[in-house]
Amino acid sequence: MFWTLVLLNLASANDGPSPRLHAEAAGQTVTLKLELHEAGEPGLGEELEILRTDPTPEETAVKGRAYESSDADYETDYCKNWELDSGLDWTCDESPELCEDCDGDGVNECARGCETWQGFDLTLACVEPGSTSYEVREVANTWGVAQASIEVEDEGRDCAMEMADDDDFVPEGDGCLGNCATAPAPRGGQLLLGLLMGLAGWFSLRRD
Amino acid sequence: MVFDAWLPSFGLTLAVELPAAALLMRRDHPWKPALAAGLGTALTHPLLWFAWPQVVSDYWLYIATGEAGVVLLETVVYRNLVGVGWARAFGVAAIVNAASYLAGVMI
Repeated sequence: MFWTLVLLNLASANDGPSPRLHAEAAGQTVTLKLELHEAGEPGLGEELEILRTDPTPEETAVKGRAYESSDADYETDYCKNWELDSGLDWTCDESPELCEDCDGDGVNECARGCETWQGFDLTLACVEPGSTSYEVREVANTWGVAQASIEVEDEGRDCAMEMADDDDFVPEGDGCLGNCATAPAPRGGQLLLGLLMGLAGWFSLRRD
Repeated sequence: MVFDAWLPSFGLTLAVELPAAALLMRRDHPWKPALAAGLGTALTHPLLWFAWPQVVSDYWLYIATGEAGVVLLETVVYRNLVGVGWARAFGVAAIVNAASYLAGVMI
């Protein structure tokens, strides 16, 4: 009984939902979809980093930063039922009138209604092929709060620009930043920027 | 690992900017423009690669402000080392950096 109470206490001490992490691959480009709730633990506004945990050695995939709702790429609804996992809540079978359809599939499955999460798309422009796993951690913590794995197909690209440690953040030739947390810029935009720079120089030389 | 990626980029930048600067300023001085291009690149390239990303994380802001800063710093180098006017120094700095940036984009 004592240990049951301790475990229940520990469960209730976790007051907010953990982040969610999904991974999608298109060739050797991987998009990590980090989803946070404002009351999450950790949630919006807290410094999080994403590490590649497999293959080893671990490397920082996305440097530590705080995610704010104003920067979110999308919003998505989830059941407000994360407490169900701890057995502290009711189910839709018992109280169907309290349930909502959060995922739009026509079935009311969310026992405590819906809540809106903020989603952040983090693009890793070039990832080595093979089975790859990522883990979200609070900065300075060593345990993960969300994980995702993906199988990356080999499309023949050499991804030589992985980060060596947290402090490295290096641009790639294709416009991807070293940790590739920012989506690579469209090549047309890069060409335009280069041409504008050249034009500015040309006009300046003509003025001389 | 990082230097494996940085060195080729640094080498490409030098390979493009040194001859481009020498060509554009061939009437100003026979060798100083290439020297200025080398010194300017040695000064600005590591800053752009290693320091500026710590300050700016958005790609477009990073590249726009970073390249602008590089051009301005190298303008000062060209002006002082080659002894040309501001407009000429800026023009050369902008053109050679556009060339090396475009070379990096194409590769």
